[in-house]
Amino acid sequence: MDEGFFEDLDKEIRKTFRALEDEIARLINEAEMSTGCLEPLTRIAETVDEVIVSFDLPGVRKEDIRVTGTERALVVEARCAVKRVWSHSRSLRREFGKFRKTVDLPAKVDVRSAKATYRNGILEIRLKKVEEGEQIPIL
Amino acid sequence: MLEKIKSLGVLTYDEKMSLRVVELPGVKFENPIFIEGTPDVGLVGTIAAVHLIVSKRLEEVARFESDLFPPLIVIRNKQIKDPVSVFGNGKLFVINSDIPIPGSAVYSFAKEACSWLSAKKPEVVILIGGLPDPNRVDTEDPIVLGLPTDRKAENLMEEIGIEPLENGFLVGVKALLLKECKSSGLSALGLFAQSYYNYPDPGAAAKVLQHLSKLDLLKVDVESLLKKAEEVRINYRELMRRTESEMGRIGKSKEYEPPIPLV
Repeated sequence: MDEGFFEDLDKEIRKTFRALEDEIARLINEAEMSTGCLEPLTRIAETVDEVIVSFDLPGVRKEDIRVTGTERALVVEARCAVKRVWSHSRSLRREFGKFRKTVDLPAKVDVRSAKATYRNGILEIRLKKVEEGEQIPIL
Repeated sequence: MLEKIKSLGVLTYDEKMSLRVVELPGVKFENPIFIEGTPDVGLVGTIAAVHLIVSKRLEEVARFESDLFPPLIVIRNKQIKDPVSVFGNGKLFVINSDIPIPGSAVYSFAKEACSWLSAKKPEVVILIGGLPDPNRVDTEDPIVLGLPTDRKAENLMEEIGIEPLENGFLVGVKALLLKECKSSGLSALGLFAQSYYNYPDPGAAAKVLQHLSKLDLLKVDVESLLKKAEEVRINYRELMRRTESEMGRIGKSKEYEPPIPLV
């Protein structure tokens, strides 16, 4: 095998990941531009029995946030009190006044157990995991 | 091509390197303080750096050029700009970036930046960053910790009321810059505020600036930054997203781990 084989393979994998990331960024940006909805930054964490999802929602009032969920996904929508304006030029201007994001959850959850808090512009939702599978006895 | 670049400014250091600093002609460096604010955890350094640049009305005086950076320019007020630049005014200089420094460029960036800084005989180099804290949302008053490279920087750290960072890992540009500065005998001080990992954190940046405001040269109105915090968080969203991807590539999550105790 060539000496540089693994180096080339590593480069190729990195290139592919970068292209994929850029494609995701393009899709997000295009969706934001066409809908005027910003996709909030998100963080998903898991404990043994909980899934914790947080959203960065600056400039939003608590009463303007709407969260819906299923066993496997959450949808967050919010209206911004502070509008994001991007002026390309005097005649080309874009305005963003809402946040919207659908998050796929890493485990099945009980939506009715959800507890949401909104502090300092961060929305945090804690959901209890639904136990899956049966316990296997150890002989 | 090199001749062309030389005609635009002062070309410094190894011309064969894939990264170099190009200064505008006539810039004076009077034993300055350098602030480094490239994108990192919570964009703490970047937010603080931009606030200093705007508050102190610093002009662009140099730029980092590299074929390791993405092929892009920044258009600001109809002007073509480089994404990684230095702003300053003789006594105070700020390194700022519109892009996260790519993982592939981190080593060259730290090495070249440090060589360039050494040549300017700085009073001190201050690197500003965030220390990721999953419980940041519960913290109204983030703690700032310092990592000095020598006694002089340690004295400065004490003067501005910051306790030392005693154990942990640092990953990325700031880590390598601190190491390079230490090896080169440059006085440097890393300042790291408790921060969100992947959300822009103007509160953490304000806290660092509050400490730095104890120095006359770095006195700024921190309240004005806090007043526009929501706007800042919205405006830095895309940079935070790109920075998060880059942090993942260089193994930034290591900063959540403690080192092995040598006992």
